[in-house]
Amino acid sequence: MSLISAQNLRKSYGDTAALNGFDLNVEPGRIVGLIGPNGSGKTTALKSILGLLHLDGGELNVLGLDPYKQRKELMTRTAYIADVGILPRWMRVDHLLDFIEGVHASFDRAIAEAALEKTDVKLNKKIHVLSKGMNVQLHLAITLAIDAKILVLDEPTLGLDILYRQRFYDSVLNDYYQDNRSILITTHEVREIEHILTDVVFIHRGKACLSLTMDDLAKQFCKLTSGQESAQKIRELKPIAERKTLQGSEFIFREANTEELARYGEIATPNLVDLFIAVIGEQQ
Amino acid sequence: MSTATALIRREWLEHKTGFGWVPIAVLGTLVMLTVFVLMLASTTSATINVSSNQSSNGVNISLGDRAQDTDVVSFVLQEGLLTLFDYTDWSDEELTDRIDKARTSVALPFQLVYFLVAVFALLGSLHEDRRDRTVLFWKSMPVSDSETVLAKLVHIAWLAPVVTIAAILAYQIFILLIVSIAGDGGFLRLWSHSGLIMEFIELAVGYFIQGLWALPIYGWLLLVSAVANRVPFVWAVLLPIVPAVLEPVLFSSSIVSDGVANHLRFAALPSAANMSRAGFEPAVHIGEQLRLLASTDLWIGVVIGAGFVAAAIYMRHRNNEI
Repeated sequence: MSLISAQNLRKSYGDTAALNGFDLNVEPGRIVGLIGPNGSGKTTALKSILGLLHLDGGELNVLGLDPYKQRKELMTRTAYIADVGILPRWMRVDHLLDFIEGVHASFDRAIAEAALEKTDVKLNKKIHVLSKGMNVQLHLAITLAIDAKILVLDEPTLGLDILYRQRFYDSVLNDYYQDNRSILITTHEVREIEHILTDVVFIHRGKACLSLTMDDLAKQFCKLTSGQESAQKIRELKPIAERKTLQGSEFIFREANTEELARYGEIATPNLVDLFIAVIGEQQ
Repeated sequence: MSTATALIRREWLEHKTGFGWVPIAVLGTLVMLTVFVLMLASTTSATINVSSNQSSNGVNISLGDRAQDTDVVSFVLQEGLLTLFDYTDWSDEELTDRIDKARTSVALPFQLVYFLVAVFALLGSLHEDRRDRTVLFWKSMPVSDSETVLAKLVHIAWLAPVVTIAAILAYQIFILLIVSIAGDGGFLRLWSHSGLIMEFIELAVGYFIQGLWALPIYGWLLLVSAVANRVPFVWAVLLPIVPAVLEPVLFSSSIVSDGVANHLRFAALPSAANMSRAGFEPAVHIGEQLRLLASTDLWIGVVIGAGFVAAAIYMRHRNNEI
């Protein structure tokens, strides 16, 4: 059964359609990257999955629940980290852990404290004295101690330095990720998460415009790098995108005959940035 | 720890300055002022002129030339302290009555401060976390919106006054001690008429009923806090003015303004009702308090307040970060 199943989600703010028929399906054990330009509806999609907003239409089912109506039940099995700084600044770390222990049946305080031991976060400190990095470490320690089925990460490493960012994703992979759990990530730092994703969903103008597994991505798409001289012939093969580089041109093909393409240059699997520009850049 | 305990404890931690340290600071200030005034009175040539003229029910104090009967502090000292200094000639009934008036008036500054802290705590309760985005964290916890809102209401209306009650009792005990030392008329007689235990019960019951009486105000503040994206205080004050002004013009009645004034007065200064200045029924003593429980006014207010609270829960569900 899917952990998240969304069909034709719609949500407007005034005249602006934030979600315009958005679809998403997340199976257990997947790490899904939700990737899109600013204002594409990423945040609205995540919020609807977390039960934070009332949709105008569509079918949304997360862990078998209606997120907006059953947020409390949903949150017993869902964890969420947003870009830094949503932990209450006035609270002490140990009091925050007390609180979560009190309200959250699937929170294991010992796991959180063990994770914090490895960091500089002290239990008797107020959260406002913690650095941005420590703030995220604390939130991550809390999240990893929750026995959740779904972990939602919304730009979790925004504003962090490279060391913290690397450690963040290492922790998520090593300490959280299991076969029956799924992770949904949005970030602008596409390169950072590319190697850990199992699935990718491109969102543009409130719609999922491309949704596939990383394996299918490698099967369906290819990137051809060639010199300028054969560019005209390559264009006749209908690439979905073309980009000039210093050496020549890069072409992205979908469902193409790679043997034929190989005659004109070097064939590779496009990375997410290439594909993002090809799929979404062409539409803009 | 249960969900309810965890939620209430969270509220207490967030507001322990306002509901914990502030009444203690008021207590400290009043104790120091009392000591200061007494020292001033005994070291200068000022005369303390206490007359227990029953017909005027008034007390004149003059410290030097200045008649101090205007501000709250001097009112408290006047009613609370200086009337008690010479009670040799008073009958038991008179003494009980004097102490009763005294303890009622010393409660006023504490009650007013508590009410102001409560107003601002309620206005911020569903607004601040939307502004600083921590609402996203709170809503990532398995806690429903009704649990969140009710925990805030119950904490502010019925649990947070505990420190205020303790501070009022402490100040009353302090005054009784001062009078025991400096006053004249029998130590045991004074304390046996002090009614402290009854006072404790009446303050506790008083705050329980005050919470019910103030429910339309508290519920309104919660609702504004859940809805307003900016300046909740301004909305909370301005919006009720419209019906209060229009009603007399359109219907020649003043149910809204009377109701608001009535509820506001007792919510802010429960003990001041004893002064009966606006013809308001006092509700300081247990009998009066229980009578208030039977009043239609109170229960109409509770129903309206419950409506506001329900609306606040609904808006808390819909609204997230600003």
